[in-house]
Amino acid sequence: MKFSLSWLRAHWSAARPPADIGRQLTDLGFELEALDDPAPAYAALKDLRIAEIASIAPHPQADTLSLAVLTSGETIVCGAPNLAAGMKAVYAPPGASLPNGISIARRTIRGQISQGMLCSEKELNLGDNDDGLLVLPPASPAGEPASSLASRSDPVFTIAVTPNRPDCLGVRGLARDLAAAGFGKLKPLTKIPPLAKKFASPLKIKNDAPDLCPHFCGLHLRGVKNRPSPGWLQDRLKSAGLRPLHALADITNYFALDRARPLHVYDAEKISGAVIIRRAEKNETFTGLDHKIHQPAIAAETACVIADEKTALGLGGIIGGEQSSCTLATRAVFLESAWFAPSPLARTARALNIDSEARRRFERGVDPLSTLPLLKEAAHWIITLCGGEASAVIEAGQPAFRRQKILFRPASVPRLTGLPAKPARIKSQLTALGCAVSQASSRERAKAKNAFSVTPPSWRPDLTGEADLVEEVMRLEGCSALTPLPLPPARPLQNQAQNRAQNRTQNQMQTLSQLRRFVAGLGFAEVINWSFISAEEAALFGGGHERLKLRNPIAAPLSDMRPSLLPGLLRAAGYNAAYGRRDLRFFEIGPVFDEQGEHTACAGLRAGLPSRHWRAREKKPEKNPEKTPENIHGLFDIKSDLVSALAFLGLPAGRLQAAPAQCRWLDASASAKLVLPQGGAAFFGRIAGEAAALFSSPPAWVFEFRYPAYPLALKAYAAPYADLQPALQPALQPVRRDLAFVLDEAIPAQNVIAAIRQSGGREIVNLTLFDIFTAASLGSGKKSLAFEITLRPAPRTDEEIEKLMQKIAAFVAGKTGGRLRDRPA
Amino acid sequence: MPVPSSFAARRGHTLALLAQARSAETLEQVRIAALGRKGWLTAALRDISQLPPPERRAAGQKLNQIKASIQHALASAQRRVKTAGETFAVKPSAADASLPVETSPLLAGRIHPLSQVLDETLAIFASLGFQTAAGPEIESEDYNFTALNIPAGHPAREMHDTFYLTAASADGEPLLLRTHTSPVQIRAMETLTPPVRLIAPGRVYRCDSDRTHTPMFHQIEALVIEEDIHMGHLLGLMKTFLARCFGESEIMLRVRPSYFPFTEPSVEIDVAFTPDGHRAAIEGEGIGEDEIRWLEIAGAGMVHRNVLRRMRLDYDRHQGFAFGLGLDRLAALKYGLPDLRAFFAGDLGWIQSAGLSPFASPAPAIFDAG
Repeated sequence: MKFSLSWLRAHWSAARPPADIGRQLTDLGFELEALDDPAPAYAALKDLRIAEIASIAPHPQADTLSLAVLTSGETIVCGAPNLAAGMKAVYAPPGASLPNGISIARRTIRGQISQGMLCSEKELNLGDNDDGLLVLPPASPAGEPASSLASRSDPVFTIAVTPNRPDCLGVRGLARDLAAAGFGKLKPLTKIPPLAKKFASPLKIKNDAPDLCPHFCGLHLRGVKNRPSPGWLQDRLKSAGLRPLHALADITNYFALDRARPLHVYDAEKISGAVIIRRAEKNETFTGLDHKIHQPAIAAETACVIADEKTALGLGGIIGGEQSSCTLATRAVFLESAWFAPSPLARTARALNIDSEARRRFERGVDPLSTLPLLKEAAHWIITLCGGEASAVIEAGQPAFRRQKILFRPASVPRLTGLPAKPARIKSQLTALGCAVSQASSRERAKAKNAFSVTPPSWRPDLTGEADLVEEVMRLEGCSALTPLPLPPARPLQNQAQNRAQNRTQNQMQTLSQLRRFVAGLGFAEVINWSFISAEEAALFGGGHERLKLRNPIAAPLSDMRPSLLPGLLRAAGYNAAYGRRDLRFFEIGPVFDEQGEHTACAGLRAGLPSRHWRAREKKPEKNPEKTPENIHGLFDIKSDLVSALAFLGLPAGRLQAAPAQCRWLDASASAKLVLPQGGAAFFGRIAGEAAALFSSPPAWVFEFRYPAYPLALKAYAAPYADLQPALQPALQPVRRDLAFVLDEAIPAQNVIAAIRQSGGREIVNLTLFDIFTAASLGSGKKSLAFEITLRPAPRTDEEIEKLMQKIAAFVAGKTGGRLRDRPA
Repeated sequence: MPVPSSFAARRGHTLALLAQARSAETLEQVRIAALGRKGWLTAALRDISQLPPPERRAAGQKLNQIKASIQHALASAQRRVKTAGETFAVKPSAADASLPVETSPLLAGRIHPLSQVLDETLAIFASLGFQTAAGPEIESEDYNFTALNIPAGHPAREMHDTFYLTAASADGEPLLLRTHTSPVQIRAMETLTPPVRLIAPGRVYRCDSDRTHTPMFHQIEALVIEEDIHMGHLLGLMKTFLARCFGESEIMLRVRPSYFPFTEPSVEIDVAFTPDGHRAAIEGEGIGEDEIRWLEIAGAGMVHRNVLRRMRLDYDRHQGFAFGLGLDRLAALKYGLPDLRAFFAGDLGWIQSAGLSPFASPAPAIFDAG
């Protein structure tokens, strides 16, 4: 909400600088968003003068230029389109300099001498307008320095009004709050003489929707001569950001901004028959004052249409129609003042997506008792500014308002805020806000000392309970009066079940935090991506369910709740690769969504070009076929990252079984999933070409797993040694033996590993695959896998070890067909 | 060098020769002269048997000591001569130790500033006796609005710019992305009974986008329901928290009345910052009023009677406060990051500079808030 200082001063008086008023408004709960005070900019214009243009003549050599002669005698060459004889403007004489540093001198422009220049708003550093000259008020004293305008300038406040305060969507309401806080005085309203009711309204009203519009008042004005509004009214509307139109429209707008009371004015000659308040009819439309075509039936249950006997004229309390609107030619008007039920009106406006000053006020709650008095006051203004005479008021329904009493115990002020309870002061504060304060009944006073009874005014729909009144006291005292206190020592939760549930959440968050730090420690940079992605991306990554789409996405590519973290990581890879970044490692830990619900997932990505560093070339990865020159990161790098993260979480990472990943976004030839013991799987591999292309990502290796819903306790690092502990006998050296098996290439290594582990049992503490070898000498389609087996330290003879090796070899042969290649001694 | 006659002198002479020797050949000659088959020490040891029995023991001990010292000196001289040769054999220019190496790629790992602030915030509140709670991001209108005293048609629903899902819940209620973490209060209180001190961090969503608003952001919800708890404690807690979060006891903050349907009285809490560094301003740093900008970091207040009723609590018997703290803005002011959109852009350059080492402490620096 915007308003000028002079406007506020029409309701309120105090000799306070604008900055203090702004601070006080913030302290009252109306946050000052901007204070535009032109005074300092005017004060800087010492060299410049206020000039009056005496006459204008065309420039003999230029069509777009004119010669302006000032009353002080100087001639200026000027090209401003709004130049007019008799206007007042700011004049920069030769020798003066403008705020932007430009010095003014006598110049010849197309053969004509210009003795200085006339200035625009922008040239004077007073605003952005550069379309023409700054037009000064006619009363500005010609010949005086332009800096003298500083005292006449009018600062404009921009404040935020919370939705509970419809009364403060009018300047009068803000003035009342300032005065109630002891900051300045509220001026009484000007008394309006009663209207002379010369005739009965020729238009009748018919209310078919009293639930949507409980109270409707109107009157007819005839013999009106519409005209532009006077300067002061135009200035106030402009300060509020509104464009002045003509007196009829401006007066109704002014009542909304000044008194928080929206009104509507119709050209009475454009209304056929009667004014009808009714629900929307199917398929009816009207063109609003916003020049858009509206269909009230979109909100069939709640829309309150104002119509005549032929057509819909507008939506009551939301927007008027173009067809019945007033123009400068209007001779007779119908003036409407009504009260619409806030909740249906809010639903209607939202369904039809219409924003207006009237809507903002009605949906928050306009003072229901202002309907009739302010109708009369507005009619008085119209007659004052435009002439004419008013009919008797016609009225349907009555104000929807019941006074209610709130029991107020002064002790509630310290109870809720810690501020002291001062009953007398509180009473006067509440009275200043318009509340009626009376003694509570003796029965109530017996229960609470000093209790009194408070009846809030009709313009405060937000005051319904005691805590609301406590807030008023806090607001008027100011939050700076609150005393910060430390929290008392914490007490444990009362029962153990509660404690366990809370601890589980706490542990899970802590584990996620540790996992995040662990993955970052593997060289990955954490990103946080939107939880929503495009429908195409969601569909490719196994999501895109109807149930998980947004009805109103902020942008089309952000329409679906993500089923996976990978689209976000791939987008980041594509984005950074486009910037020429080479080694890309990203991860995210965050929510993913599917039809079962929400899960926390962890995903990582490696992509990018090899480093050009000399050492990177030195150890060229020729032996690893999966490492192409375009991509330094291979399948086993990403698997190592994944398995490390799983091991960190305490999973038996080395023993998880790999199976085909079978997902569209992973390349089937270089991917797999690890089956997790508590259900679910961890995926890893190369992103399929289709998915990489969708994000313009370079070839990328990724992993992703969902964090178990009920996590295992974190046993980071402890797990690999857990088996070893009971048998640890440090005096004995570990025994190592190498076994190499020749078997069919198609058999996965994990089968051999499983067979070795199964047959070796607890004797094996570590198993390392140290060589993979294929050669013609092995036979076609064969490979050799060589393992180093570390045995539990124990006193054993060579024969016992040999027997164990034979047992393992036989078992592996049985399970996988692998035969021993050779046995290093 | 004349050859001395006594054993002690011969020992000294031999040790001197060993110390002077520069080649293995010289050492071998010295060794043979003393310890060889015809060496003087070998001969002397052999002659012990010729001595009268009472003297044999003392002579044997003395000669064996001399032998041990010569053997020790010989081994030492042999190592010296050998390694001296090696040192001279290596060309000094072969290894250019000045060649540059790359730092470990693990050093590129970063924690998002939001994660760091989240960890620190959780640590601070845990130390003040707060429990942690969590709730879903896809919520029902009931938990997100109605239970929090925002009935249908209430203008506050407008304030929230809510994202709705196309589907409704099983019982036909519209589903939405939670607009704040406050629904967790309601969910948690379905099982908890006062006294309660809890926090609930998480993602929240609103259809809004500019420098200080993003369609997704992070909040920490706090709820305290205890006897005699009021706005003064809320303010005290906020000051303690900010002091520990920023490591400064005099963070410039502003409390102003505001409006939330679920609290009464309600306030908003702003932190001052200077636009140039975009960091939280500190009282007494001599910052001019014109330079100061305020950023809202929290909405707070005493839990509204209607919300208490939904928690099956009575306004006349129970009281407490709640607040929702904007983590993103906190991180922005802590680390001087003016554009919140960059938090979610995935730009590696930004993450490398704004992100933190995973080895940063997950708890704030130890600081006495006084």
